[in-house]
Amino acid sequence: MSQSKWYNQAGAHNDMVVSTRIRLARNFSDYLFSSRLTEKEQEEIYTIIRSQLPALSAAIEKDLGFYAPDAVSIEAKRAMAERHLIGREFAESGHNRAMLLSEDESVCALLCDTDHLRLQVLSAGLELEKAYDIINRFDDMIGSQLAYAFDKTMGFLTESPTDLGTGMKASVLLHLPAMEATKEINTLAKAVSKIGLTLQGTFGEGSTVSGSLYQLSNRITMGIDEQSALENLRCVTEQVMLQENQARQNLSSLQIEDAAYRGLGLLQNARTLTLKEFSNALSHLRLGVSMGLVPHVSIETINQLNAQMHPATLLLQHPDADSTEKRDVIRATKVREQLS
Amino acid sequence: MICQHCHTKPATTHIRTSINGIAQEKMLCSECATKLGYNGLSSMFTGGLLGSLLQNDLSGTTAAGAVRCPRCGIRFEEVVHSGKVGCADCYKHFHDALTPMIEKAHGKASHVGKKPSGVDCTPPKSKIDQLKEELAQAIERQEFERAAILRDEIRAREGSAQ
Repeated sequence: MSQSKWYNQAGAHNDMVVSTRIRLARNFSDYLFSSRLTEKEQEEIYTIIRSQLPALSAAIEKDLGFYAPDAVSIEAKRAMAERHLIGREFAESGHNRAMLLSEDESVCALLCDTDHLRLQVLSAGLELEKAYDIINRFDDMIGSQLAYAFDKTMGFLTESPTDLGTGMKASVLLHLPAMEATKEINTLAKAVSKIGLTLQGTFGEGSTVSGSLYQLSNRITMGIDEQSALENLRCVTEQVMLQENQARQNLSSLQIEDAAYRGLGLLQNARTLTLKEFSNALSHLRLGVSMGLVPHVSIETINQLNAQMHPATLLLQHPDADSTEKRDVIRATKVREQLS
Repeated sequence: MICQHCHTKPATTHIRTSINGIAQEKMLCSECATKLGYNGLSSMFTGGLLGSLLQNDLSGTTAAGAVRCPRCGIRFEEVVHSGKVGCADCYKHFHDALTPMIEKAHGKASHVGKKPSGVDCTPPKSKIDQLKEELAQAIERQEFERAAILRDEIRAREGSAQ
């Protein structure tokens, strides 16, 4: 897999913040919303956006590709959802929609689904400003070509009233094993909900937690501007990092080191590896690496493994791996190879 | 904290609801939260919490659910059921019915963030300027009675401003 993908790189505070994601919801004023568009109108929107590809690529300094509605298989969509590129809900919906995707997979735009435009920028580590800068340039470029549905009081008009206002959702994926172990995570979930943020499972709304990875995101999109919302999220993230660090100090260093090396041992030697075993072992290893206890493994290696071992991603590369058991064997082999 | 529903898994979702002034709080694990239909605000629309909030707001206007948006044709009851509007104009046509719901979802119903390029950000015209425009239009249409009323109002306003 290419080294240039965003998840193969490292960003600020990457030991604790796996990734940053910002999403914007936009609609064009000349068209009815997506659920009421005719096929012809959908095609019109695709054509206009497609004609802007070179300008968009230049604006964000990344090569964007256009994917026609039937160009991406359901398996490929599931794999994209595993890499947080698109929502699980969309991947499973069977909806065929056109997409824009940058070569490094950090920028993705879904067209004519929930809204006419769902822009998303991903970055490794805590990089809210960087991600917003990219998405803002993308947004300005499209907005200069097609008029957005906008109201001075309600902001950007969206299909769901919950996205009104900025239409912006920003989130960070946090690795919080110590707060999970000490059960402080429950107090945290309660505390952040009082200040307009949400703490959710690894894949957002309604998802379970895998490998101690939690998603912290802003909930409120109206009555607060983009910069303040990002600043709030950054401040709370830093506060959570402090708390997680404190919780880590209270755990026995020997136990963390032991768990990290047991995890490494499992990953380097297992002949069959379930997703759960893999996620847990990788989480222990990540904790050990971030505390400097496993010097010969890097955070980048852990990020790469994390992005490649989910079931749909494996199935896409190995079409014969059509059962969980077969995928567990392939996962074990690939992990072993990468850690040898 | 342990999930208050299954009493086995750790609680990761904090639910606070307020229906007809009765506040409730629950700590649930993500699985129970999904099972009980609390997986995010959007799910609350589908006949759930926000649907019932909207229906409360509709009480007394029994026909309101059948009203259609003139631009996209969606009925208001479809908006309530799906939690989604059909076009940008729905926000204008269903404005009064949607405002309480928007306020419940966002706290404040007023945008303060980014504006698309080209959107006029200058403050709205003063009442006197508006009246002067109306006066010019009235004269053009030869509506002299109305023009006289407008002229008097402009004079009165200009007089009080000085």
